Amino acid sequence: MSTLRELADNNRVTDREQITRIMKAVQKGQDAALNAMKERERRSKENDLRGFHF
Amino acid sequence: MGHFSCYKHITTIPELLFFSRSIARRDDYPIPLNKILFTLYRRGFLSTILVESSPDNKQYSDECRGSEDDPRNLLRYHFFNASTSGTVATSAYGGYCDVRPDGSIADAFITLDTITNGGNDSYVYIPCRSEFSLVIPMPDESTLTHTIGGFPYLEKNHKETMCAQAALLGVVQYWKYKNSGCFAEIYTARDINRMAGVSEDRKGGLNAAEIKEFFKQVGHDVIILDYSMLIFGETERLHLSTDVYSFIESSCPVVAAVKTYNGGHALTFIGHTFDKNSWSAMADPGYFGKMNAFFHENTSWIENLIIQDDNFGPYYFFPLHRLPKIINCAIIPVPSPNIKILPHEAANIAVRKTLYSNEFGEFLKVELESNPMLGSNLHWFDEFRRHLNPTCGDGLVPRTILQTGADVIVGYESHEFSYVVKALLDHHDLRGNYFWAVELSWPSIYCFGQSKSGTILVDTHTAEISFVHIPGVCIAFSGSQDERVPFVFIAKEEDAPFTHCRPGVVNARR
Repeated sequence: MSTLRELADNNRVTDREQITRIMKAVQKGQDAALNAMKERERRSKENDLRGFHF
Repeated sequence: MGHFSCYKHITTIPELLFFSRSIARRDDYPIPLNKILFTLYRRGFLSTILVESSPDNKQYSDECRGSEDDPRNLLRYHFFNASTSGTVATSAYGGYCDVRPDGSIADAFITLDTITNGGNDSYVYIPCRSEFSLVIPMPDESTLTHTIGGFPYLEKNHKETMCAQAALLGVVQYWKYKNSGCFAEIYTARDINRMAGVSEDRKGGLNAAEIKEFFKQVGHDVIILDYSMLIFGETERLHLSTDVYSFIESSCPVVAAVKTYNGGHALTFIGHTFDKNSWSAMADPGYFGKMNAFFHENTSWIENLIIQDDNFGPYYFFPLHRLPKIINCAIIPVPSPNIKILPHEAANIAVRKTLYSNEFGEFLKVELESNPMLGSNLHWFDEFRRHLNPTCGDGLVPRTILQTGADVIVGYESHEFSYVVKALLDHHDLRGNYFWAVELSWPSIYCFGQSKSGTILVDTHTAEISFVHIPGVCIAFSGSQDERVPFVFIAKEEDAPFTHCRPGVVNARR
């Protein structure tokens, strides 16, 4: 089994500035989604699911 | 299996009406039965009808418990499009329908050929399709086995089986087909009531809390999205349609509780149309300013969802735009407890937050300066970039579907970056993990090529991005959360748009 590191030492991004940039880019969305998820879970605890029969 | 009773052949509308009236002994018009019979008739599936007496039907036997009804009074009708009378051995099978003595339907499984044009259909898509094999008793006491694709259907009996139980039973049967280990003890509406913590004989439907309890007791994961406190505009803002579409496209049927003029009702969403020549998809952003600033919603091309409605019958076309106006809550059984992020959130992470960020643009610019892209891929990359600045109906189209790591590997099998995907997912043993695969297209290749020009993988649990592929280049992220390391790969071959992943979770049984 090849790992990414074994496969691609040449492809590894080593420049600190570059790593910071890309990690910032992908982190933004993650934080927003996790917050939305927490908010959804909070709301679902508060909501009364018993009121509507079908 | 019951026993062979008789054959019937129906070739004209008067014969069909006579047949329908003869098996529905009630004053009112049995809508589901007639919907089934007329759609089958249209495709020639009433050429031969085989009647089976006293078929094995756990639901109906359960319904008869404690009442004067006799389970032996159930009749099963098998439908064939045999043109030669008396022989069904080589004909196509249209499915079966178990009819209660009053003409209502205790169980049915009708071929999707009644609404699609077989394998070449490019309008109706049923990702939540299951296959059903049935042993049919023949006149000479031999048996015949037929297999067809469809989705189970059941009509309420106005007693312990109401629309919630009818919808759930269909979904339970579907998931049993996808994963034989689940819902092992659930066969009937009484089973559902018992596990939901209510009386088995309850004469009424269920509420969302009871349905939640049902899934908890049977140990199956479920997402319940509650819209009961919201008004129309807010459900739109929460991207309800996008989420429902993505779950359907991922082979996860959605049960929607909707508001009617006198109460609540349950519908099961199993498929969708794909209106690739939709004028609205272009005109809404172009003429009427209805435009997401970052991408073109894929639901722009979905006019209808395909639903099961226990009151009306199987395979109705439901206008998608009506859903946000009538939704109360959506119930989505899912294959893993780790599906926490919703599809619209994954698309948002992938496109709006990442692709559009200054940091991503700057990162790419620096990488490509030191490691230039192949000439032919500059063209594809440029084309891709043009759709990041939509002026009308030409924005990027994300298609978000649920995939396991193993599915992603299969989807990339014939692509140059398959070795990257494989190394990434194998390295962290992520084959069994779930991802929202956000496929990236633009309208022309999305509609007419059913293709994508890249994919972004978002972990359904942590919302982490593991892989970004845009034309000519991919970025893979390795390592644990605190020390993630990016790797960049530049394509050595032309990275032209390639086919969408097929709907649904590939490694599930088909």
